[in-house]
Amino acid sequence: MVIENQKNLMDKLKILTDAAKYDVACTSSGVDRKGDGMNMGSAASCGICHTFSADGRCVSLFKILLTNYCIYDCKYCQNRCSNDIPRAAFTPEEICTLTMEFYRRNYIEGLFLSSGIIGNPDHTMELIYNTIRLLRKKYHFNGYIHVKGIPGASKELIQSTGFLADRMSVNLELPTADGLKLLAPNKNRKNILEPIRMIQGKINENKNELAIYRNVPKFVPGGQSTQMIIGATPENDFQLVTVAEALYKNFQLKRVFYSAYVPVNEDSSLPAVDVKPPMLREHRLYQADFMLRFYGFKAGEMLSEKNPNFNIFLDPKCDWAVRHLEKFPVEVNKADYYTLLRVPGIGPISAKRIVAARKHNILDFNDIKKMGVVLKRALYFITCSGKMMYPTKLEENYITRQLVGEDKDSKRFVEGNNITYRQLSLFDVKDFSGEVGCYG
Amino acid sequence: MDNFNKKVLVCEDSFEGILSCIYDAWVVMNQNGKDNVAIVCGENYNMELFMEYVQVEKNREKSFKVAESIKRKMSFHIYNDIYRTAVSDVSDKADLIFRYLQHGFRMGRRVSECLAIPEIMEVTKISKNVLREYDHLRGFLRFGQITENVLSAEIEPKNDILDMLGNHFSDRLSSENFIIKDMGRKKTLVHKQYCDYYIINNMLPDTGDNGVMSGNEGYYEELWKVFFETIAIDSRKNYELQRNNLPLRFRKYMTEFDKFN
Repeated sequence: MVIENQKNLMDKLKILTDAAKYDVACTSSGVDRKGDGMNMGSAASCGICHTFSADGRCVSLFKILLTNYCIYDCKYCQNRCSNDIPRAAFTPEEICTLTMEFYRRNYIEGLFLSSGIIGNPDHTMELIYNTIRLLRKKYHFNGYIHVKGIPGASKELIQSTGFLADRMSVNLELPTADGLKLLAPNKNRKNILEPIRMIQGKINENKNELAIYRNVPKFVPGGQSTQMIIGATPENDFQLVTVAEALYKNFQLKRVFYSAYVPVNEDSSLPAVDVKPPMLREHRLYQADFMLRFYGFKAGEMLSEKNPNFNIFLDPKCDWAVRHLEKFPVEVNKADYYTLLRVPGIGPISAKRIVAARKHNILDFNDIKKMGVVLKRALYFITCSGKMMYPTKLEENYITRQLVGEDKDSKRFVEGNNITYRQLSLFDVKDFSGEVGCYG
Repeated sequence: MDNFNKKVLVCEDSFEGILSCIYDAWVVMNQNGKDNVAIVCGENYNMELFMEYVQVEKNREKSFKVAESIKRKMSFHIYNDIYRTAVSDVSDKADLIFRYLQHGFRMGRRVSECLAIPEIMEVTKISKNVLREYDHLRGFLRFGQITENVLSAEIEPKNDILDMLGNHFSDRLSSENFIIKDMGRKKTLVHKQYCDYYIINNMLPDTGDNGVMSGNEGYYEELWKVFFETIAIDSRKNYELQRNNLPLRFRKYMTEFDKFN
């Protein structure tokens, strides 16, 4: 009997991992919690990657679905109810045992629990709530838990779940309401934004309480995130970045994840099944996302209605810089932190180092090279004590050509095609394939 | 000619050893000038002609004094940088720390800003490197269950980060009995549930072949491998990226890469 049971669990694990793999978020960041000295588990604010799967993505959390039964029929999703695939459901006990056993062997940082909609949204949310309550209260698990908020579930259920989880996310699925209507007939934009708004309000309320009473239970201390599928509907990059910016600003999201559409179903309203996932585009969007969050850029600066897509041959920061040569060169010994950050080849770490070091010495190119500045890219845009590294043409086409030669990403993506800058117009390549990094 | 005065202090390759040595080196420096004293640690250093080599024993009191004054006159942050440099695998680290502290005691806590000074940039970089390896192993270390309630892990880090890992895991898994073996340095960390951990030098207990585990062990390893293989998206396969993020040297001791080795 035992052997039969084990085989079942193995099969379930396979089915429900496979069903969860298209969810992007696997981060365990945002919460710093020491062990409590009795029970198992802690959390590190920077997050910890425990392994990297064959697609190069970080595996931090034990990412599974509670069940892949689903009453919805979203056209992009492999778990849609009209698909004839093997279905399974974990019991809460099974999830808890797996999580605990994996955790103590240091395979994982915590649990990421999502689910297909079984019965109705309330019922599903209740199942999720029961599972993580069991994990927290009976198994005394003190590690990281990320759960999905189910749109349409009752406010009370989502709230009680939030007091047990570290992070919650409600998927936006598609960047615009029109796209959603087309591909996910059972969902609507309002239903999705409602819980996001509700969680945001509760987090802020909880923060105020915490400021007064230190022992108030924490509500979603790791903040909330969301994800949207790109490439399944015809939105341009400008629309995507604008949506992301609004989410960060209006909903105080911690992260917005972008998921290059992987064709799993055949449908007249979807891209053909043999279309490769637009991974270079996804990569550029993540770069732009970093610029929004850490570099002080605004969506309107990077793109516009007239120029709505990223140059796939240059990262968005280089692209911005060559289009704004009037702002360069900047003087390394004088420019403020945010001006330095806008220079290609200078990131947050090297910018901070420069700002600290120049209080004591006048810096030259050798110094900043040692601090981690990538001079190959930066040299066109900076001066040290009024001098450029060597005389160079400050001309858009020339610099673009130099920078495209240095861009590792686009080289990796178009490898073997022998495409060079001059053979192609920068903006008309739509079909590309390749790989992308870890955004944990 | 002035080489005749030059003294080289030799110390044990440990944080305590290096700090004790710096205490003594300070005395020599005040007598002979800072260019006439250097520190080396460990046993495999290159001897130079016309130098006087002096062995310095580690001394808890001296190292404690140096550590305390680093924390007081500079900052805890700098103390951490120094600690990480001391456990790194850089060969001239002892002298580097000595030079760093010469600047440090002169300038105070702002010394860490002066990155245009080579020693200071160097220590900052080494510290970051050690921290990176520690961050990696916090995730990549794998425990296997060797008896009913004892976990065991094997690692082979470049830097001597066993103590740092001990801190992390004894906090996280306080209710577990576990050992972590540094295979390269032949050191073993032992943690008994709800107790402090300790490190034994020059000993690697035989925990049997890693494959032979108690009871259900193979079962959870199998489940983990199934999860690991299923979570990857086929149409995004990218082994180069996987290798960049998870260098091959870590995979030797990782459960999910068993069959690839």
